[in-house]
Amino acid sequence: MKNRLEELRKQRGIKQEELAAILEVSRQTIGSLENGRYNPSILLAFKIAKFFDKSIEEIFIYEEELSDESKNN
Amino acid sequence: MNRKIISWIMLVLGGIAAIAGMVVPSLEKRYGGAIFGIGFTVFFFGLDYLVNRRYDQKHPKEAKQKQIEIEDERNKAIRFRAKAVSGDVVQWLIMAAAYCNIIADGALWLTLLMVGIFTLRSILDFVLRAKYEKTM
Repeated sequence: MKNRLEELRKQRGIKQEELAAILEVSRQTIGSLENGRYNPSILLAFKIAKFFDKSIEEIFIYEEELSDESKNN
Repeated sequence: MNRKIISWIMLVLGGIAAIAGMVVPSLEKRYGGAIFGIGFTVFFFGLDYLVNRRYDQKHPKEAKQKQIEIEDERNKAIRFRAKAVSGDVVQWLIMAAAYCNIIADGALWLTLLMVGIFTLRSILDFVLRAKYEKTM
């Protein structure tokens, strides 16, 4: 699943290790989330959204929406 | 009874069993060996917990990081998946070993034991799935 996690994290100027410590997950999980290899649980997705003060949909882009967008364009 | 007390009990009882298995003259060698093995294992389970607990008390930051790594959802998923796949592989290897035992004209009880383990694993798998269907 595509997401804006890396973009938002860099906007805040924090490292992966720092974000991992705040969310109480491992640094590898943050890395895997950012490159789309791992999809978070709903609980973790909520924690991430709460930290960045955004909705889940603003951070995580559901694949179906991506293919719809490419059809419209 | 807390984990620390249980670990001390394991340490003491395991150690006694291990020593008894080695030194008691009236015990047959095979029983002595089995008691030694079990005692040794129990002893080291207890020791492992106590040593790690002591280390964690002295290094709280590392202990917290270790706890985060254990509870991390991705790490948990990886562990469970690895356990499931390795369980499947070992189950079939046991069946292969049973066939090898038959071909080698080995003891019947050994073949039946291996088939029993294979069957038990399949039953456990089925029972646990039924349980998790209800609870998850």
